[in-house]
Amino acid sequence: MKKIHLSLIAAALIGAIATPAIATTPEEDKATFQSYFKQRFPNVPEDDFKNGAYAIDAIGRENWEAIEEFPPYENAISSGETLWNTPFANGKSYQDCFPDGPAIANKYPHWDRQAGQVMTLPLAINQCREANSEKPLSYKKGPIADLLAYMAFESRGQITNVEIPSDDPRAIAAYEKGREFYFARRGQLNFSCAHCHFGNSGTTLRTEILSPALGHTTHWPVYRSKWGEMGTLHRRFSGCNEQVRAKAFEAQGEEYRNLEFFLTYVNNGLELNGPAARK
Amino acid sequence: MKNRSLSVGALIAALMMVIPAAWATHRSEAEQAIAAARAAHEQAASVQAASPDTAAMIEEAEGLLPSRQYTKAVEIADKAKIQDRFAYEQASSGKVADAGAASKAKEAIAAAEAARKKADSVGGEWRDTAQMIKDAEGLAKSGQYNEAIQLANQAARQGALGYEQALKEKGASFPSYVAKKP
Repeated sequence: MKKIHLSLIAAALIGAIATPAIATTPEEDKATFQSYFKQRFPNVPEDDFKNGAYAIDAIGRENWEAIEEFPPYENAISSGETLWNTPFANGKSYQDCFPDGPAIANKYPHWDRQAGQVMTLPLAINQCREANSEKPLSYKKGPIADLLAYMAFESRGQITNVEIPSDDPRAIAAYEKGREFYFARRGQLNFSCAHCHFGNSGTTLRTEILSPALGHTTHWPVYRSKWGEMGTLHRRFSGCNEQVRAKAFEAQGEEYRNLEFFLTYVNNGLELNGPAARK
Repeated sequence: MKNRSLSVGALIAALMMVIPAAWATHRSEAEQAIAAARAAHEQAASVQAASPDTAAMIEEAEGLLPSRQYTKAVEIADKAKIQDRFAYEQASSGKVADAGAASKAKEAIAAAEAARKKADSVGGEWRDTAQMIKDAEGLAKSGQYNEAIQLANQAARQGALGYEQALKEKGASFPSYVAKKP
């Protein structure tokens, strides 16, 4: 009898250890995700998470606020505005593709039911260009980052609001692939995205304070001092993957679009404040 | 006191001479390395043994000069030079050096490439594997077969580990220490 009890306890323990606390629906995931960071950083006001590491690093914040007095992304906004207003060779412009104007960052990423895939703003921009016989832009930096900077600036103050249609299993599958990507170990260093920006957020990696994942999607594109220029969210994804010695995936490929879908969804409710300056 | 000043002065002068040479590659060194690589390439071409790969490497080294990446330029030019010299020696002597080792290196590189592709097929390729295979190919072309085999074996191991890792991480989700919030 005692043996049976012991076996049952052992089986229960193995089950408990082996089964991660999986939140089964996106809504549950979001609650789990946001609640984790609010408990981890109880002194950070909810609307301050959008400022990344500067929400938890007082000295870094002072430097950042000084930088924001003459923001290094200003030129990108101006260039982006020029691009937005410059007609294509056929006489049409971005306004024809995006009739609601440039302030549409809160509509992306979204599930494109017709294409059966996650649609991001950079992808939509290039689809617009190709539809108007223009060459697509490179996805990591350069003119696309300028255009995105202008659109992000015009969208400031909007609230992250990604919707995952529950009646389309393909959308749920894309979200779950993004979640798996986020939590899967990869590369020679065997790290997941979550190892740095979830469980170790707020701790230091050499001299840098690891930013919480809550707030990671609000402020793109970014002028990063390390880059000395503007870069997109997928450029940062690539860099993170390479830092753990994994081969980076293609910017705007399915892997990173699904990752963006997941990560932006769990950031729902946060204010968009791009473009931004980061170290 | 005067002796001490002299000693300090001598030490500073010595450091000024030694340190810059140790920390930086000068443009002239890069240009010399590229010139030597080009000479070796022309020599190999004279016996129809020049490879388009080495020509591309010399071009790559030249392309690094405007961005002042002299150390990298020297490294690439030297590799091209060694490969072209080896090709020239092989072709002009009419002998194939160590055919057995060459064949083993070829097999090891092919195995590494297969492992890399397998890892890539499940999204598990590591950052440096492809470069390691490329370097192993360069070593084999330089006649450094043992080094090529060693590097290819390391790349194959990376491919195998990357594949295993990707399969193991299927279905990854929130860690168990996170309290579920329904």
